[in-house]
Amino acid sequence: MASRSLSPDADSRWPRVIAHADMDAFYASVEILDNPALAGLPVIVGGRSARGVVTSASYEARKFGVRSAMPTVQARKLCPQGVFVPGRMKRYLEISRIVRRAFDSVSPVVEPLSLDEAFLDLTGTARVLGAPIEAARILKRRVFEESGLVVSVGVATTKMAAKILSDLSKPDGLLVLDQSQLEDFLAPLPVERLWGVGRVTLARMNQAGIRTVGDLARHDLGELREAFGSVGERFHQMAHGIDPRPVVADWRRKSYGEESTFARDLELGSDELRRVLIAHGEAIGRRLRADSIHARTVVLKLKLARPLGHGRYPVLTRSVTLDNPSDDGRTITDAATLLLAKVTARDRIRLAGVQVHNLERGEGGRADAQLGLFDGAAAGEDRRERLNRALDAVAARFGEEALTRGLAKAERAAPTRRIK
Amino acid sequence: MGLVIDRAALQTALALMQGIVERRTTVPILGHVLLEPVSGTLSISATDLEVGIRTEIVARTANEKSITLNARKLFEIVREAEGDEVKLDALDNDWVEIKCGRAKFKMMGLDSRSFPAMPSQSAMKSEGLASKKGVKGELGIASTDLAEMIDRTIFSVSPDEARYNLSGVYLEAAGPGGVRMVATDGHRLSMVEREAPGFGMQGGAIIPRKGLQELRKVLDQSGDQDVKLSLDGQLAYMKRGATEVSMRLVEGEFPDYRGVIPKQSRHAIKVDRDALFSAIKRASIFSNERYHGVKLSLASGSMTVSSTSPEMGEASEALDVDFTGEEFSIGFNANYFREVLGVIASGNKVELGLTDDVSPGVLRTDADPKFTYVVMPMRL
Repeated sequence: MASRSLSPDADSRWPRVIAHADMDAFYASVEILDNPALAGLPVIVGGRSARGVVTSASYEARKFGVRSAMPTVQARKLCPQGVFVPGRMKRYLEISRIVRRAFDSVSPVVEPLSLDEAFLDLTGTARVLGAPIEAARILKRRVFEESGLVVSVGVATTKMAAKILSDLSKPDGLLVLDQSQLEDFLAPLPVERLWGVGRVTLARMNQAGIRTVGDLARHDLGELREAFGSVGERFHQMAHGIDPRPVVADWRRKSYGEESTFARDLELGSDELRRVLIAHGEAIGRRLRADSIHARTVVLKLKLARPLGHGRYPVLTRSVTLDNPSDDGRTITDAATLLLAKVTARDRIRLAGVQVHNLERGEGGRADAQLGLFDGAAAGEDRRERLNRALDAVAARFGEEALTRGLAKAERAAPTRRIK
Repeated sequence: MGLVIDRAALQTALALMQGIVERRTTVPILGHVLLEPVSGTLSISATDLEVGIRTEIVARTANEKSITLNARKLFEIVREAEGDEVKLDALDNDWVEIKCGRAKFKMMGLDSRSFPAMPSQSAMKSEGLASKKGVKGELGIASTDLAEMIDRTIFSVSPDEARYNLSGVYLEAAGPGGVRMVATDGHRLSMVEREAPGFGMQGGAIIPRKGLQELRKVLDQSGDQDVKLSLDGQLAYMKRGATEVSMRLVEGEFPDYRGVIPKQSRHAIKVDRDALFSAIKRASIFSNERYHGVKLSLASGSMTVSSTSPEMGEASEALDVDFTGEEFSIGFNANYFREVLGVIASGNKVELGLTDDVSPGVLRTDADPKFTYVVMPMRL
């Protein structure tokens, strides 16, 4: 016991222990895992159509300047010898679940940010896992043992710092920073590394002579408040390494979403657009069911094909709250389709997405997890539930595309699909 | 002078009243019992306006002056007192002096004329509530049978007062010469039938839970005799020895329960009641405090009862059962099983009819072939 205990000042140096774990070149690494012949080659995963974008690139490919979210066309120019792979979402999801289990084995409080990264709250694990750096080593080892893939880990006392550290540590890295080192570490970083500092804020900060996090920390708080309102205070705190946001366990994640950018812009009233929404709604339903989550709010997101410059387009969102929280793809799709019908826009649609918010743990879903004997629609819902279960089983066995409802065919119209 | 009563008899009578007066405190007189001496007997009654109970005990009466006293306090006094007799003397202004053994109490009563009438046809008529519609029937049944019927249904009554049509046990004729009682809270359902020669009734009556509880206590009081439960319009009434219980029936329509009882289930799993009860009790140690979920996992030759709590840990226990077919799991609220198994005597077998994890489960037992319990699963 004594040998495990931390140094006397451990508590002040580690008021919280937060790890950010981020898989290295996740999709590309999965491709290499499944096909070892690709090892050491510049592997690029991405859509193959004219509009396709790179979703993942191996470190070998990155040497050529290939980056995620870069149009595939550009990646081909930069790296003609690259091995271009179309991407297998089902397999990535599968591996993601394995990785997730490894995360769960290290901490009970895991907040996934996407398929390949998560925050883990390691506070209070010292007795079991040892000091933060040892805990992080265990985390890396577990992930590798379970999945065969490499994860980079940053450990700090705030989420933001942990994320910055894991990013800096890549590939196959591990960086650990306690509270006493935090502010010095942040100071030289460009201010846009802080969460919430986007293009507009950055321009205004630069005008005020703020370029680094350190500049921001030294800046007069009153002036910041005046210039940025209450957010100004938040920025100031963040610059001083203060970021109280907790790691929020999985089921309290805020939303599930899927969206796709189309190979060619679609008409607002087109069947193709509706098909995409159905595919997304069904896919979200499947994920909700897999996680035992019900959602109360459905959001439709559309990006209009009207360039605003700098690669930006107007985005429309519309949302509706369901009477009962649902994990049913059909219900989600119906809601999204209804929202779509109310949208008036003259432009064509470049991207369409569906998101669900207001999540409830399965047991709390539909008021409660207890099924009712007399629920008005119970008979119908039970049938739907049975159908969903059967669909889930087929999807699990033969892939998501094996069986989709009539109109759903996202891949045909949508070469790039993003899952959040 | 005054009233002299056997202490034990008074204590028993007052104990019977406690369930009725217990809850209401906003109307003081509803917390009181009415004591009416009539030459050689004392009539004691309590009511909450929905349910009324009246009993008679032998007493030495000097006059016929009625009094009311707080039912809880009087019960406590009689219970804690020493001596075989309790003496009550009515003083002025509704004060009452109580003497037992060497102890003396003075309690303030209320004007006995303001004590409400028991639920009755005349009382309801005076409120303009009596109507011609409603049921009419007389159920003659062995008191042990009626007690069993109540025990096997009342726990399924909805505690949700807003769902008033589920807030009692539904009673109807079961063919000629039979009676059926059904209770459900919308998640599970109990149904039991017994023989009741000569019983017939058009439609059914919803008997309120509280009234049925009081009636059940009365059934406990003496041995196995036949009792007569009268259903008349919006009232139910039963007299047993010197004790009468009356209550207003619940107005509303009981749901069509027949539609939710599965005709058949895919799997019939026979298991010892005791083994299942213990396994569920143990598994529920780790089930969620709010939802009480436990999982039954069926595999060839076994049924595993398990629960998981992300914060606390997990429990599982395998029972040997005669199961063949594709493995599956189904979740249930453990309490729904504990309650039903609690009313089936130890040493019996139960048969669990299951189809899949979203279809209702059916529990039957060789202890009572006329009992059916239907329970909806929980999502796991």
